[in-house]
Amino acid sequence: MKQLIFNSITLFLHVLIDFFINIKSKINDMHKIYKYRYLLILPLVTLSVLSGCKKWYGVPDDKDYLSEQINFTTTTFSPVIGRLNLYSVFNADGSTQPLSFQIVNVRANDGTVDPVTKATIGTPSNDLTQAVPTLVWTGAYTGSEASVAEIEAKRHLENHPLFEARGGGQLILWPSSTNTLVPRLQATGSVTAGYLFDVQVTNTGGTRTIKNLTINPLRERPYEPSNRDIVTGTQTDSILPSVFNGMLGVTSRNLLANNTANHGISSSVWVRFKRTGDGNSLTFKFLDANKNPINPALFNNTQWATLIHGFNMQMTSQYVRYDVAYPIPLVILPTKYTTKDGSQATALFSYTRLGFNGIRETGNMGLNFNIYRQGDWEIDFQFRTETPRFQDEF
Amino acid sequence: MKKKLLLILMLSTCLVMPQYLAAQVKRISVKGVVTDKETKESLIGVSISLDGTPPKGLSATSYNGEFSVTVPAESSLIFHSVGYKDKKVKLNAGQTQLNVEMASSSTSLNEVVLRGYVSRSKEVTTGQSYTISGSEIQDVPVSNAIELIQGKVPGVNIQVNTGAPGYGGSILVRGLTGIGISGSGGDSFLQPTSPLFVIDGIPIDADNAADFGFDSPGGVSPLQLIPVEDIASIEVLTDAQATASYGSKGAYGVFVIQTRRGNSKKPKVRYTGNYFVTAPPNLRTTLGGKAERDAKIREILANGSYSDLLKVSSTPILSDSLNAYYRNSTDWQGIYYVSTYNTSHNIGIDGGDTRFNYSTNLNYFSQNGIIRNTGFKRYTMKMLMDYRPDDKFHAQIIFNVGLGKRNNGNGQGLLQTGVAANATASSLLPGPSLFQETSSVANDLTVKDNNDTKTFSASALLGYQLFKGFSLTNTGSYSYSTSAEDTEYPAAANNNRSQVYSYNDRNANLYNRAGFTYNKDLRGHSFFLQGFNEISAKDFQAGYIDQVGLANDQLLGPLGYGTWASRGGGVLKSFHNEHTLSFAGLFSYNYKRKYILDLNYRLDGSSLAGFDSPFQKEPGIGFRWNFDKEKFFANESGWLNAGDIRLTYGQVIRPTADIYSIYGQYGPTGVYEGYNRIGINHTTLPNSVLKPTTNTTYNLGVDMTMFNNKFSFIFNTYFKQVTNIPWVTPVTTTDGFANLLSTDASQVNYGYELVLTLRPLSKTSKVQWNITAQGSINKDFLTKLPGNKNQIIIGTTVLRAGRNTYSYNIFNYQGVYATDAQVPVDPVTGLKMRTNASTTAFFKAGDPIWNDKNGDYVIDDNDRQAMGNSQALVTGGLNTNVNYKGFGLNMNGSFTLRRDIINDALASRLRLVNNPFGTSVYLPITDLNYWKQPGDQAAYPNPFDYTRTGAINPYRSEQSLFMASGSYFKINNITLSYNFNKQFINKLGLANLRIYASANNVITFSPYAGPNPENVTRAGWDVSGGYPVSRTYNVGLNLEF
Repeated sequence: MKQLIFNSITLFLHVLIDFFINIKSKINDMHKIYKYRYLLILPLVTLSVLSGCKKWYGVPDDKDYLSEQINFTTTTFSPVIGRLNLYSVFNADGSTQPLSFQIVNVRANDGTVDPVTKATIGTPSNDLTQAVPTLVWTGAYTGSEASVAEIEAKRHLENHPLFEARGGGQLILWPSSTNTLVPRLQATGSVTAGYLFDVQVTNTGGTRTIKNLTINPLRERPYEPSNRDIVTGTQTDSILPSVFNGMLGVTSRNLLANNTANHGISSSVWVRFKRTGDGNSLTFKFLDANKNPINPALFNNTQWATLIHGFNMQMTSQYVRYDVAYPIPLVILPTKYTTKDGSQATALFSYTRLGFNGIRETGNMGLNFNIYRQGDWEIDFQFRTETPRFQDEF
Repeated sequence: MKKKLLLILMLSTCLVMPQYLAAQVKRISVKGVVTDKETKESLIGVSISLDGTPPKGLSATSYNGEFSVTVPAESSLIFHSVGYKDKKVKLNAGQTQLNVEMASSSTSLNEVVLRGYVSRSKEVTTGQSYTISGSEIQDVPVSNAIELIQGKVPGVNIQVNTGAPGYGGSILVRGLTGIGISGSGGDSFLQPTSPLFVIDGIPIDADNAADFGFDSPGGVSPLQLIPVEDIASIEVLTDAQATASYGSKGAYGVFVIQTRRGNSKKPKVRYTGNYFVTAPPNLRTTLGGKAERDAKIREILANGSYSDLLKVSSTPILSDSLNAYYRNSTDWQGIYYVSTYNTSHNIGIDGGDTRFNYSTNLNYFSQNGIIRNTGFKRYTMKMLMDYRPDDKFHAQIIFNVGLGKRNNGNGQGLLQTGVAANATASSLLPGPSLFQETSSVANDLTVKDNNDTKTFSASALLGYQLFKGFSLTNTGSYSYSTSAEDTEYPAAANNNRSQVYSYNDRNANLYNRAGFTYNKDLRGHSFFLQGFNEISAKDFQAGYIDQVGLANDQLLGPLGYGTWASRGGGVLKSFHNEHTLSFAGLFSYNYKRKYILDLNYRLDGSSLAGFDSPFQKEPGIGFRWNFDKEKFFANESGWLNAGDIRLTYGQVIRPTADIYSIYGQYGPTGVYEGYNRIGINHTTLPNSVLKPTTNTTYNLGVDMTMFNNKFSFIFNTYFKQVTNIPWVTPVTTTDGFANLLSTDASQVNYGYELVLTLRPLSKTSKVQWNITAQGSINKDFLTKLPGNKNQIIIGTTVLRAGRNTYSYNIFNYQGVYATDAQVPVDPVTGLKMRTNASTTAFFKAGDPIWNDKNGDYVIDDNDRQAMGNSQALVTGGLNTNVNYKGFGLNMNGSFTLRRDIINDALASRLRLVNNPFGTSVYLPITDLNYWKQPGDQAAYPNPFDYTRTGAINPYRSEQSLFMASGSYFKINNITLSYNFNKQFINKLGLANLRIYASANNVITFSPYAGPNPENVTRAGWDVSGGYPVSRTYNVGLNLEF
């Protein structure tokens, strides 16, 4: 547009000057008009100077804005290895989007200090930047897929650095990370664990580097709820059902109960997660005090078909098994298989029986859980003191 | 042929010669005044020569148009001045007094202009200005005369953006000067910058809102109180060299308005009457009665949940089988919008001669708004007396009294939004009646709102010529105005308690200017020296009472203060008390009126500027070369009638500070131990080193008139740099204050202006035809923002260095998701695009595709981007005037090109249909290509999915879907007039009779899909709740006795 206006004005003035020169030369006094010709060119020259370019006017380039105050509102990240960690803690401070982000200068925080400034600088490390195949979604998980294959069709393996930054300043620690790949885990009493890294933020307005962010990973906990110490990984606790009510002991007819006191030492049921193979299945087992299996069919009020988002249910007198896709749940989305916020799968086992005086009694036992690592997993519910009383009273 | 003529001329000269020699014996002294025929302004520098071959130069008129020559008795004098037709006057026997009126030769170059309050021939001034004569803006009754020069002045962008009677549009002279903006969306508010208005030599504050920074001023602007009929001319000064003599107030341009003078020895009575109808524009088509109910039910069945189906039963306007309004719906727009009949009357009485003349003007104007309960009335009276007992003494006295009465109804702010909010009520609701009226309707229709402004001003000019060429003048004026706004909300409209809002202000301005002018001619070298000083004392104070629970709707009092009844009140922060002192000087030199040099300098001091920089310095330089006077153009072909090149530089400085920003403020900070405490107000950090905003303008202009005045053009290009623009930035909390006012922003405007005038027919033709076309291109750029930033986001506006000043900060709309599969999936989380990271309302088919600018698969404020330009790039107009015998046809058009506006009217129309349970009307949207079923390639998203509207908000206004071109060409007005034959009229005892019919705001051609591309806020939002611009049909007559 600018150029167009400029050109048209130049053309206009050219025509004007030609017009003057022609009309005058036709009449007389050629030399006179030529003497003044330069004066007529004066406006042209001035105009060229004035309208030549925005630059002449001191107009700066239309550059993106990159604020000096961009930052991450969290500077120390403590992700758990082996699961998806997505941090959206970037503050763009009004900078022009899109901004591109790159994690640079990853260093092992091993206590190395700069000899001059005495600041911790660490030593370069490739642990977090190594590219590892990881599952990424290509279609949206809805919770209504009818087979494992249908789920798998919506995702595929891609190579990604374990720790990545993407648009919007989001930081991603991919679930393909393992304790071995990222060995500098948080350790008790150690201040030199973890990694230091910088994030380079770029748009056409420039580049800024946000320096010395810390990632202090926690060791892998392949399932939740976990009974292991988050730092050391030693077993500290028992896992209790999330929902437990209405169940009576088979002989005592006392109400069985969760008791969280003292690490659940006196609780009626303990839950155990076991990884038994490298397949893609999830097995539920119910054990009595002697770890003998209880027939799952006794939980006669259970909605087996929608217990979890699994397929090809096999129910024996020993266990119930589903083919599943890992992790469980696959995404954070409320579905009929999950808790209300979609963050955990929920499995509810229930039975109903006639109590005394014909009163119907229903016992419920539910577990909200996550399993992050792929495999053949087994969840055992052990009734530690008494099995529930399934049969009707007379 | 020419040679023949020459021969005849020579022969006749020979014949005359002896007589001339004989007459030489008796010499007489002739005195008189030369004035402009139209404006009655005295003309300076008119050369007077004695008729003869060759004519013998005698003298030129002095600063006040007077002359004195000694010539042989009964000789002929020729008066010559560029811009005027030469006038030859034969002296009668014994005549010693001669007053000459010179008619303009009607080329734009040949005019008298006002520079620093002194009229000078345009030929010898360098600054750019453009004059509109009063006759060009008659015949159309409007409340604000400035509206009528839309599209007529190059470099002046006038947008009539509200139709509310008694309000004015926006005026921008050569682009933006400042970056002030606040608010968001349709409420984005651009700080207005009002030009300075100088009316009959007295500068006035046209717009208190601009001065005191509030959106909704009480009272009526003094501009509304100038009757159009009394305007002799409006001159618009655009470049800084021209405005520099008016000082800092002229930073946004100067409009110099001259009112009519007496000009006839016989007293004349002029009557102008206008009888006009204002009609609302086309109103929106709405679904009425059953159609509306069916549409709502259909929408609920298609999109609603089971509980929504049950809710239908509990929504009476949908379920009541006896609702009479299914078949007999209410036309809410008809309740609000009406055509009105109005009149205006103007009587002017004037008479006198150059020794003593007078003019009186009485005006009455009344316009009822097209929205009920709104309107404007004006009563004004002006008296002007001009007295020149001899050649040395001159006195002029002007009195002005005005009363403006405005009724805003329930409207708010400059754009009068909300005035008819209830016009969108459902057609299924009963209309207002004696027994049934919702409070909001009562609010709109029964609120009594009166804005009265009463103004009084008096000015006196005294002048005395000490010796030839040297004169002293003194002009003093006092103006006082008081405005009141009384709004009464009847109890029925206000939760059963009547309420009164009573605002009043007073505004006094004492002004004096004393100066001298000196001109001297030395064999072709002319010098002009002017110096003056101005002092003014201004005082403004406003306060209000807001009180509820009055005795009843009729007894509106007593008003006062009470803890229970008061809803605020007291003196407003706009309190203003300022004293100014200025000195200005101008030196002008020209050689044979060919080469002109202007130098001017002004010092402005204000009591508000603070001790660090009390005086602002404003220099100006201008050159002009009238190349038509060069010998090589002075040939017999005569194709060039006039031509010049101008180059000017000027600086105008406007103080940014006020007393508060320099010294800080104290205020009540609560009670401590029973005592009221006064403490420091911690809002804004005092800053005593604020620099004044500096406008530096370079202007290059070329004017040419060619081919026997048939064609002329004025071309200007300018570069305006505005530095030290104030901006409030937040500071860190450790400073103890919240904000800091700094002056670090700067801006650049450059542009081109062209006026073309064409008179295609010869002068002798019976038909006179003028065509004037003018256009201005203005580009504005932000060059610097405070605090090392190059981008600041204010609501829906982005200020970014290197771009046009105001860009929209909106979502980039890229179409509609035709199917669910098109919605992008986040590869990390496996979830679809959504509007925030915690919602499960994912985008789906029928939803808008907004560009996920930052790439996080969440559409939020980070995804907005800078788009468009809310200010017009090209503005201009086209005027044509045809006269044949007594008939006249006048047409004015104006255009605006390359402006992006937000079509919020369309957005709100589409938003209305997403609330089937609400009580709003449904507008038909069948004309729009919106998404209906999967696979549809639609232009608009699905408007009916009301259950997800809260999460997706597909019809949010701040998206590029609604950013549309605001280009338009508007035919402002058409006037057809007939002037009756004088002989016939004289028999009736009349001096003149003219009748005319005119239409205003005739038609707008625009690619814009909304109602009116001009009726948008200054920030570019077409807010559908604004006051529509009406169309006016008028019949009027001019009578002269």
